[in-house]
Amino acid sequence: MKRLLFAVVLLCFSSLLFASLKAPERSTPGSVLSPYSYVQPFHAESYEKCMSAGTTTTKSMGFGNASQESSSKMDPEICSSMYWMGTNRSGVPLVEYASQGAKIVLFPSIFAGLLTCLFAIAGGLLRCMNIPFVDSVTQVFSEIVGALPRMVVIVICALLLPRELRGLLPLAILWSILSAPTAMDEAGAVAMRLGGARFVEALRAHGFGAFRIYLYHIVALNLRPVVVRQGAEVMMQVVFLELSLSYLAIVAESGSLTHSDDVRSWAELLHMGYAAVVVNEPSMHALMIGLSLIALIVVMATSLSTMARAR
Amino acid sequence: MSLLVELRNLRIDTHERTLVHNVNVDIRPQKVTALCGPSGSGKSLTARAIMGVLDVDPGIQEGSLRYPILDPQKDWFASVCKQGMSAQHELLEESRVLRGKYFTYSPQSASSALNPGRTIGRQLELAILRRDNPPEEMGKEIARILSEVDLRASVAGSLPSELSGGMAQRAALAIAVAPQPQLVIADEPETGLDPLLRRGVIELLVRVVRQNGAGLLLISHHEETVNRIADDVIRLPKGGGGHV
Repeated sequence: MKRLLFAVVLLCFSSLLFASLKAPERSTPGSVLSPYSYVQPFHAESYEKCMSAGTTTTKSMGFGNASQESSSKMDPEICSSMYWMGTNRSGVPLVEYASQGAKIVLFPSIFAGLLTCLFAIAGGLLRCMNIPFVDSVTQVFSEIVGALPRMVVIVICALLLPRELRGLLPLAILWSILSAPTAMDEAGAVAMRLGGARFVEALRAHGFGAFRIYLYHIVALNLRPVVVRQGAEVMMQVVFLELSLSYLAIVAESGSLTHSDDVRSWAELLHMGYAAVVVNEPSMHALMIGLSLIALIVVMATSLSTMARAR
Repeated sequence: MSLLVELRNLRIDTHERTLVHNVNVDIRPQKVTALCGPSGSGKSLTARAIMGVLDVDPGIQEGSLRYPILDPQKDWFASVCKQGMSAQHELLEESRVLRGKYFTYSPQSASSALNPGRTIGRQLELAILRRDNPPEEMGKEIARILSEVDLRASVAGSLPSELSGGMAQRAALAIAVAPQPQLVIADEPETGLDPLLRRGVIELLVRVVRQNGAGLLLISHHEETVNRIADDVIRLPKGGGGHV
């Protein structure tokens, strides 16, 4: 079970990493006059026809590296289907949205997840150390930060950040700090269930050193499930945060709060999908791709949490 | 025969008050020594002092601690008295080699003695590995120790949360005797158990410790239990202080 979940996590993570590494620096400029408009996802038949034209390379198959020059040598109707996720109305391949979206969220979400893990570990260990002054400070921090409305704080900070500093990373760090009280409380509760200082004392009496007691017996053996779950949840939440802020920016037709305007987010896939649902435009596959990417993140986070809990 | 522990004239203070004073404890090999007294009399604190695990500020003010069977001359408190927390931390580090090997400790509740994140078998294995000559067939030895405390061998694969209170207590006892220590310190092992189970656990504790040739320091406030099983009794009055 544990191995299976590990394989799932590894697969999801590698897909996102691969996609973000292959993502072009800037998005392909689209045109409403493009012959690729609303191309549906890849069909094997048309792909074969295109390959038989012999003018294309693997490089041009996806990740937005196809140039107008190379495709002009082929039948555009056929070769456009090589964009195996299809294109949007302007002829921009959707794979570009997927890869650039992965690049936007991957590092900040992982960083925020790791930061939350550290907060949770600190919360658990501080409870085991039983230092009244530190407990009081932690309590005050938890009460103040825990009472803040997260989304409001995030939106205000996103708007206050200078344009050149805008990005997902500062917001992800802020989200992680706002999530810290929950993570610390939960890890602290686990530490208290262990017996807190009494558990440490019992381990000392067994002859274990401080490093082994705190890092191995408490963190690795007992706090691990809650620490990993909190980290995975925050990682997932940061992705949702990016989606919601980007979606908000698209709807408001303003500049993005989480990434530069040169790159595209997964939120744009969802926005295209919205058009498919509401006005019946033939872009339902964009919605499917967007939802699949979100599902990928959810599966990865859930598998990670379950893996940490599994014996 | 040399004593296992010789504690003399122990006094431990906080900044506000004296927790224990003038406590003398002699523990003989293969005998049951009971440390009894009302709540707050310093029973657990005295036991922790015997193990060198203290985190009271300023802590030990007077006293000497010897393990005559190991080294009759060495006074473990010589450099600790009136030296505060840092000296106690040094003592904690210095005496680490003895804990889990020369003496083992079974805390008040089994939930604190057992690590919830590890199976009983793995915890027993770690305890057995503390012996000078660990057996080659670990599985058999684990099964033997479990049967000694009336547990099935299949318990080795269980996590502590999967055991009942009585089973957890017996598993904690198995872990305490597994390293074949000279002395087992049991801190109110009957806590949280119903009267029938309590009697059974105490009797099992005494039987297993005697079978393993170890001494037992039993901390308890049940007079009846103490009078029934102890060879030596140390009574601490409220506020600490007592003799054999």
